[in-house]
Formats: sequence, structure tokens, C-alpha cells
Amino acid sequence: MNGAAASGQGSLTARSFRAIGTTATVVVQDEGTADTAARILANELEELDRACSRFREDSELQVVHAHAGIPVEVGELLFEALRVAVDAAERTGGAVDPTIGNAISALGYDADLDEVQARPPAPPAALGRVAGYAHVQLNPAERTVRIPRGVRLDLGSTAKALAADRAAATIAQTLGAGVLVSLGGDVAVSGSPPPGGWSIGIALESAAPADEVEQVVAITRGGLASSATSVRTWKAGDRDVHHILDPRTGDAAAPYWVLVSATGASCVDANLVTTAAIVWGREALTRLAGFEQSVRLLRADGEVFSVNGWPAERAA
Amino acid sequence: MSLPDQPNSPATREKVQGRLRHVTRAAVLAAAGATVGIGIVVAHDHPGASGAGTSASNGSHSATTNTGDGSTSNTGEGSTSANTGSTGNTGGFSTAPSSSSSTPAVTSGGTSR
Repeated sequence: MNGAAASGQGSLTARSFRAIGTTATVVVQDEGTADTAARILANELEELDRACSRFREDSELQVVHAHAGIPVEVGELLFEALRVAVDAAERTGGAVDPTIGNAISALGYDADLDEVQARPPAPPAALGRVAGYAHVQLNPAERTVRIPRGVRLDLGSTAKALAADRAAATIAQTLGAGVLVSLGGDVAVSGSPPPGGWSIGIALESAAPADEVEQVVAITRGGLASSATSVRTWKAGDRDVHHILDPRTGDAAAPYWVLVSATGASCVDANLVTTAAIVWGREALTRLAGFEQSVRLLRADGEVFSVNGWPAERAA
Repeated sequence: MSLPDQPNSPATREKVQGRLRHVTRAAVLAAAGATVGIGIVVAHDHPGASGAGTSASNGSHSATTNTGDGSTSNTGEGSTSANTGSTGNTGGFSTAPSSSSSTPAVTSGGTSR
């Protein structure tokens, strides 16, 4: 676990480490609590991975896959992740759909991305419309889930955001202080923010250094998420594909937008509109009328659109 | 010999209701079209009027969307706005971010790793 101090906002202290295939960062306002915060975050992510990973053979999600067709009792965390995924699907009219597991594997993303990118490109298997979230049957009373035979789930889009929300809430409650958690750029904050709020840079890549971001915004609560089509890519045959699938085709969504960022009441709330906007493509501005999240959209030709109160960018 | 429709007969009522539906639909479409048209004109003539800030940079568009009456933005190439009732800033969007001049604590974007 390496440490790094965030600068520019007083005495903020950050800890970053690798987890769930991305970079996890926790930022606190008291350096003395940073290690405790990082430990809590690491534990939360380990629990999430054990429950929701589609890559780990020993994950609870694999038990659901192995028993497709019959109701399976699951733990509280996986049930919450499933409920959040289905809710996101309903709110986006199916643009964010957890039943894309087979489709994204067919496109080649069937292991950690490092492994996928390292092997020789192979043409994708047959692609097509996914089964659809309506076939995921959740029974809260029994805490069971039933998926159709042959269906596999991918909770990646919403589960990472949920993990950020859960970890931020737990850390803030434990420390009795404000905290920011970032999982590869999906951000959740909880507790009292620093003066001026939590400043977050917006850039094509979450790994971009602070002086190379396109815009800096501040939030005081909830979450901020970004989805991009230009990173997290790999070769499927002779073409580059990315990880955000259009459930209607089972293929990577057309890259009309290269980067969509949004704020919301939670990181989940923000994440569902950024993912959906990528899938909606040119229809996103119309569709976003049904949401209250503030959104910034960067089109492939470089044009920037701000929706629902996202602040305009300062003139260069 | 066919008889004229009686004023209160079911057939007459159905005809009248059909005409009313047609007229109402046409009026709604016209109103929605006018709203979108006005929105586009406002956005075009006052590009800073519908966003949070007043200094939109080149290549930047603000689109304030609203579900109030079902009319939404025209998202055709280059058009930016949709609603004439909202004048901007972040009011109404409770989780809208604010601009910041601080060095960011973290960066949000795509995740290559």
C-alpha cells in the first residue's frame, strides 16, 4: 500500500493502492487517520470482490451462475449489489443492464484487463441482444436471486460505485470525519467536507496528473463518476473495443461521447447516468431530461455539453 | 335514405370526441415545437443563459433539461438547449458541483488500469 499526499486543499492526506482491477484512493483531512481509512477501504473492497466478481472462481456470484434457473440464497452484500444493479437498469430503461456477462465475455473481456490486453486479439464470438434485467428475479423476503439458465451477470458498472458509497459511509462513521473515496475515478464523499468542498479534476484518464485535467469541480456530498470510451479498451479481432456495452446489440456502444461525468446523490446515482449516456449516444441529451443529475459530456469531436447545472468551463 | 346524425347520439359524440382529440394533439405538438424552437433560439443567441456560468468557453454548450411538460431538448447536431423556463445556475439540481480553483484531491475520468 503506497501513500501520497493530496495537495491544494489544506492538509488533505491520500492513500492509494491497487484493488478490484483499478486504483483505490482514500483522502482524509487528518493524516493520523489515513492508514485506518485505507484499511477499512481495503476490507470493503475485498468483501465486494468475494461477493460480486465475475472473474474469481470462488465468488458468491459464481454460485448464482452455477445454479441458474433456481432461486439461490445470497449474502447481504451481493443481494444489495443485485438490487442496485436492477434498480439502475430500471431507471435507465435497460441502458445499464447486469445481464451483459456473456456478451462482454464474448467480446473478449473475460479476465482482468491486464490479461485481456496482453494476449493476442481474437475475433469476438457471436454478439446479440442480452437477456435483459427483467429476467433477474430478486426476492427480498428470502434474500434469493434467480437468473435464467445460460445467463451470466456483470455487476461491474454499479458494484464499483456501490463499493465507493459503502466505504465512504463506513469510514466517515468510524472516524467521525469527512472522507473521499475514489475507485478508478468513481468518487463518493461522506461526512464534513473540507472548506470549499472536495475538489475533483475531470480528465480523459483518472491517472492524469492534477495539472493536466480539463476542469476542476467541487462537491460537498454524494458522488461523482465518469465513464469513457477511449480507455479500458482492447482488441477484438481487428478493431478496438471498450468496456461499456449496448445491451441491445451486445457490442461496445458507439463512441459518440468519449467522456461523460456526472454528480449525484451517491456515486451509484452518478454512475448510472454516465454509463447510460455512453449507451444512449446522440440521444443522451434528450434522455437526461428525465434525470436530475448534473452531467458533463465530451463529444468525440471535442465539443463539451453541460446538463442540469454542471458548471460551464472557464475560458482558456 | 340515410338519416342525419342525432346531436346526442353515440355516433355523433364519437365523431366530436375524435375531432377534439385531433385538435388537442395538434395544439400540443405545436406548443411543444414552439417551446423547443424558442429554446434553441435562446441558446443560440444567449449561449451563457442556460448554464451555471456566464463565460462558456468556445466549443462548450449548456443544456438545461427539464421534464416539466414533457418537451425536451432537440439534440440535433449543434443545438444545445431545450427549455425556456430555467435560467441557469445550479438551483434545482441539489447535487450540482461548483467550479473550483483548488488543486484536485483526485481525478475522475476513464480508467485504463
